[in-house]
Amino acid sequence: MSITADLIRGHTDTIILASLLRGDSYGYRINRALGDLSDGRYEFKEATLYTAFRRLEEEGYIRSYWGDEETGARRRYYTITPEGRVAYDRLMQEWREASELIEKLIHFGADSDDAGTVTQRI
Amino acid sequence: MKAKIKEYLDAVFADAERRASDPSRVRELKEEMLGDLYDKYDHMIENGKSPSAACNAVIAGMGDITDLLDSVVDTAPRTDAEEAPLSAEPTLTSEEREKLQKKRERAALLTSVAIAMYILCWIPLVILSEIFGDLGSMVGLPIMFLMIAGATAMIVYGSMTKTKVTEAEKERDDDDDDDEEDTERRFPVYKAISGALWVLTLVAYLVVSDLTGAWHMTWLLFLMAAALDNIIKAIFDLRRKGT
Repeated sequence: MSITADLIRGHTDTIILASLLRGDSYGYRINRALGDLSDGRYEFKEATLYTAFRRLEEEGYIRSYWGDEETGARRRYYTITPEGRVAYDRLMQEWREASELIEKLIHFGADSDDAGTVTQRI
Repeated sequence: MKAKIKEYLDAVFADAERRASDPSRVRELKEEMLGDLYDKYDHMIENGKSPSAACNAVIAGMGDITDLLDSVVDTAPRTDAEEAPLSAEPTLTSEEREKLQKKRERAALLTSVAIAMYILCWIPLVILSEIFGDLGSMVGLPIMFLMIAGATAMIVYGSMTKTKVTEAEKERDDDDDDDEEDTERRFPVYKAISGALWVLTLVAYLVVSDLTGAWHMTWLLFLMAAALDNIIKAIFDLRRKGT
């Protein structure tokens, strides 16, 4: 499970952008969606989430605004920008390439007939 | 229990709010996080968690926000918002400097008066016993000890105030490197040598005095030891400045 956690944390940006593609949202709702999708197995720490929000906003991929709530305190909503959509497509492409490559590498030598072990240096 | 979450957040954000060039950004982040944390808490309660367990889970689930806070603190103030308040002054204002100077002068004065009292404390005793005989000494002796006690109290008070002053100054000004404590701190070797020197001097004093019987002169040994101590200290200081 720790590989999963690391991988998910490494793709925080992509996950947030994907979530915002479906519609504007705020921090906790995005986290809830992630929890539901993962059947309660994974949730972002607030520190990770908010750092990502700031980073994405700084890069211009998302924008924030204060929403008017009928009840309770005001909430900060995030929305994806056109640059954000472009970034999302790029990140998706990178993920596809990376996962294909890793698939190949972790199966490397499993069907091999080599007598000895050959050390590959990357 | 929800209040505990807010308390925790207030504590964690306190330093950042103070340091930030634009505290309103810090407060907005706190507001945003608080809302989300409350939602999380409510969700846990709905799922049957106890208030204290939910509270702890929410706080623990936050993670380490120090880097996050650092980045908010460094964010430049908004150009459209009203003027950002000045950040806390790290250096001494001239008023503070004056106050510290006065404190220092007072400490020095106390020490000088105390030393004078040490020197003069035997006088009342002598005069009173000359004039009034035994009754005089009965009065003069307590007076002497009172003067000694008073002088010691003044010196201790003065030195403690002075240390506070020099510490406060050291924190803000550049290091001046002339303090005696400084040499002791930088060279534990020096401290050891100095300590040994004094013990040896005492031994030498007792031995020499016993052998020669010249108690009226051998106390000069201590003066020589003091001079030697300063010479050794100077050697260490010069060595350090030289490298």
